[in-house]
Amino acid sequence: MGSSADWSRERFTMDKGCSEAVLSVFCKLYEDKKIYKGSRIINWCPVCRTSISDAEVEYEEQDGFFWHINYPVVGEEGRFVEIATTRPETLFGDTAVAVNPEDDRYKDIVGKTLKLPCTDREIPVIADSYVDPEFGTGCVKITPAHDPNDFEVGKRHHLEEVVVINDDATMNENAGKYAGMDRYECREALLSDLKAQGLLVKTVPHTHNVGTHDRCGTTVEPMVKAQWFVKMDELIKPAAEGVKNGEVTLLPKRMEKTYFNWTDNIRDWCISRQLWWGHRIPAYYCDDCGEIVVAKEAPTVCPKCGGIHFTQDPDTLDTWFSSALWPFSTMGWPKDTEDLKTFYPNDVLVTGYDIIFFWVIRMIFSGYEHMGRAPFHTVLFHGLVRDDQGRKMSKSLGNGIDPLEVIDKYGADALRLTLVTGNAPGNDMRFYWEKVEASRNFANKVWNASRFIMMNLGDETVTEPDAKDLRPADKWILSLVNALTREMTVNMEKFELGVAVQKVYDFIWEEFCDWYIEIAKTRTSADAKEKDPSSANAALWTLKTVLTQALKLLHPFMPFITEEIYCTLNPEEPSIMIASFPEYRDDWNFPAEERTLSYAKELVKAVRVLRNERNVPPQKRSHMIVVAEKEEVRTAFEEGKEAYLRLAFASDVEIKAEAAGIPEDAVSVVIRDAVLYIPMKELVDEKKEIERLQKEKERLTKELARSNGMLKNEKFLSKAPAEKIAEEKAKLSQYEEMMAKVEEQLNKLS
Amino acid sequence: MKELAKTYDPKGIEDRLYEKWEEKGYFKPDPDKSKKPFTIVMPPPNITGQLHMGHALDNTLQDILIRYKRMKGYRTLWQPGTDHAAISTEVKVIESLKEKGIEKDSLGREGFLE
Ligand SMILES: [Zn+2]
Ligand SMILES: [Zn+2]
Repeated sequence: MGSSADWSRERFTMDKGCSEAVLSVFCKLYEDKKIYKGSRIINWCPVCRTSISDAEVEYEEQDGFFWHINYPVVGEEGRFVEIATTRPETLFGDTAVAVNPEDDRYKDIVGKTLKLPCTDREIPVIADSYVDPEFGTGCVKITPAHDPNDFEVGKRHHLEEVVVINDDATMNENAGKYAGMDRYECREALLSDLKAQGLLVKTVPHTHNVGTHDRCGTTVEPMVKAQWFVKMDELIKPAAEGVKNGEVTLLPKRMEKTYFNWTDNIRDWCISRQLWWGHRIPAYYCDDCGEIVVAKEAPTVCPKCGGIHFTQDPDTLDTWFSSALWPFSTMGWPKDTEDLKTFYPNDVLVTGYDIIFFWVIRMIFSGYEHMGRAPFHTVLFHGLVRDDQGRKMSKSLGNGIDPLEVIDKYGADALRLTLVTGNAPGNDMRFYWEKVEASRNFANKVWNASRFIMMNLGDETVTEPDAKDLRPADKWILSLVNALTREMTVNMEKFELGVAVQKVYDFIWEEFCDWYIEIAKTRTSADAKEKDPSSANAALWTLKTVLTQALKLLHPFMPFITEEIYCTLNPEEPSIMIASFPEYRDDWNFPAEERTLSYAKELVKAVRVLRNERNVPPQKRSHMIVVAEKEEVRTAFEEGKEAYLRLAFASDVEIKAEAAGIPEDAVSVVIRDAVLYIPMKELVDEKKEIERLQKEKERLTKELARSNGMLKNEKFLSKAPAEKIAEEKAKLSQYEEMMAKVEEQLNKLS
Repeated sequence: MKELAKTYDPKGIEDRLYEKWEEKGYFKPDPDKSKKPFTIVMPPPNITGQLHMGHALDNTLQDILIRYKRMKGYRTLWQPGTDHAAISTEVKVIESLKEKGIEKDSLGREGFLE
């Protein structure tokens, strides 16, 4: 890719320094009571067998059911409480049924006891305002161990937390005869038993949001487990404040909404993972008294009982715990290094918008907490690269494109140009092979133009001309590259990289290659060099100077091709990547010449259209008359002559204030501030042209007859292969089109 | 004057130039400490979990900024690194062990980490 990262400083989140940073942060936060161990409902992935954080849970709509189940009221034969649930298998973990205290329907049963179906347990009916009387039956089963809301209800009412699902999503012994079944298997078995007992009231289809693990797609199981948490309420404050007060700028600005939505609704961060690969939690439990000691190194003596045997917590830390420290752990923290002083805070973070919660926010609050300052002043978010149909690239769709394949076919510069062109912060983009081809074509254009310039330069020494020796076209292109420099600098400082690259692309392709090089050609030929060496020198110097400057402007986007050309063009220079980025200079601002050349370009474009329409051979030159009322316009056409005469295929030009004395057969075109006249006779030999067109008409008439005949021939139509017929039809319509054009031309001439 | 190759062939220049830049130490921060620093830390590649084209975009944008600032006279540091991607790594290892008929628990922590 050409990435100019300092690979000699490459770091790893589990290397010695980063691990030291993790230990320090954990111990410090524990000391400050910002890390705690607690029993909480966490998201459990039964396939990965670990807890995962809220940010790793992806919600998707799934079709499911509400099963309505009757729970018998104890001591009141024939009376039931009907609950609706999407997860009947958690019934074994129910420790209450809750109703809203204001719900008149159920006021009399609050405090009564229910028989939990298919078990020998009884549970109370409680009143809690969390229950929405409008939803379902207004009675909610409470399963504190397997539902985050129920967990809160359970805490309020001191309910028991009965875990019924194992780590691998099978049912445990609390599920009685269903123990050992998978959670879904158990659901089916239980439902059929409930039905048999007449307790299953009805089954209602229902679409609901199901949490899945973003990595494996497994339905997440909420479980009560002892886990380590980072307390977020205090930590998040400076991180939210920092974005509010502009210490950290998020680009695009709309990301702020997402950011604040997260910071405003922050929950404590579950950081323990039941994995072995990672930073092991530095918590040690005394084998004798159970005291928890958190320390960088294993303790030797228990501070509470004096015991000397400890067992370290088996869990490891969430990977993001170490990634959150990246901006300073890579600079040597917790040591107070020279690098840390120099490179912290960092300046910009560039990343995808999809990891704002996982990573960006956590880096920001960690920076404030441990360094006292935000880790960077700007976050530049970019979007996803989608396939040509706008779909996410993914393994399952098989629509991923390997950048190495692109580089192999088209080069790294073409890939880079493709990715940055049209790129706007935060926006997704689509990947088209055609775009890469266009990028490669641009590279070819730059290469070929540079080769041409170098061939013209030859071995001659080019000297910087005096200002008076610069021709209008020279001043014009210098003025343009100067303005381009200023604009691009503004764009780059505002992180508008896609805008900046488009400008340098357009400049090089159109203004420099298609116009200036073409204009300069007349002055750099061997002939011209001899005739007017000063003009030739000015043109060659301008070519070299503007090319060099354009290469520098293009370098950040296309590093390789610019380096190769730059070093060939300026063999005394070591590298373009350590050259200075061009700066705007007042002495390269030529508004008058910009005007002159804009008239010249307009004239050339008009002439091209005119000649194209009439099929005028390029070698045919003509006399030209420009009529312009305003004097400054006439001056501009006068001064621009050298630039446009050859490109307009003009033998000479007459510039006048009035349209008197212009041949009657002259064709006129209106351009900005002027009218252009070209005597037709000089363009086209009318007699010859009519002859040519008539011959063409005869040929086309024959072809049309032949083609029409074939397409009306039944034999041909029934026997010929379909492609053959289609081909003939295409030919016919082409002939018809050509015929129409020929007739139109003939009409014009006669 | 030296001449450019007749046709543009990225393969013929890219590796050679990249080697030259690395050899000359251009990717390291400028030794001139009077220059203003400009720093970007590279997101560890596992962090995004994106497919490769996302990394390519990520890298391109960062490199553009770093190269621009370097030419603008800053003392640039683009700090690279990798993360340990705990979940995805552990799941992959467990899968490959399973293929060999080995259960994670039978290895024990030390054996597994080996
Ligand atoms: Zn999973
Ligand atoms: Zn103890």
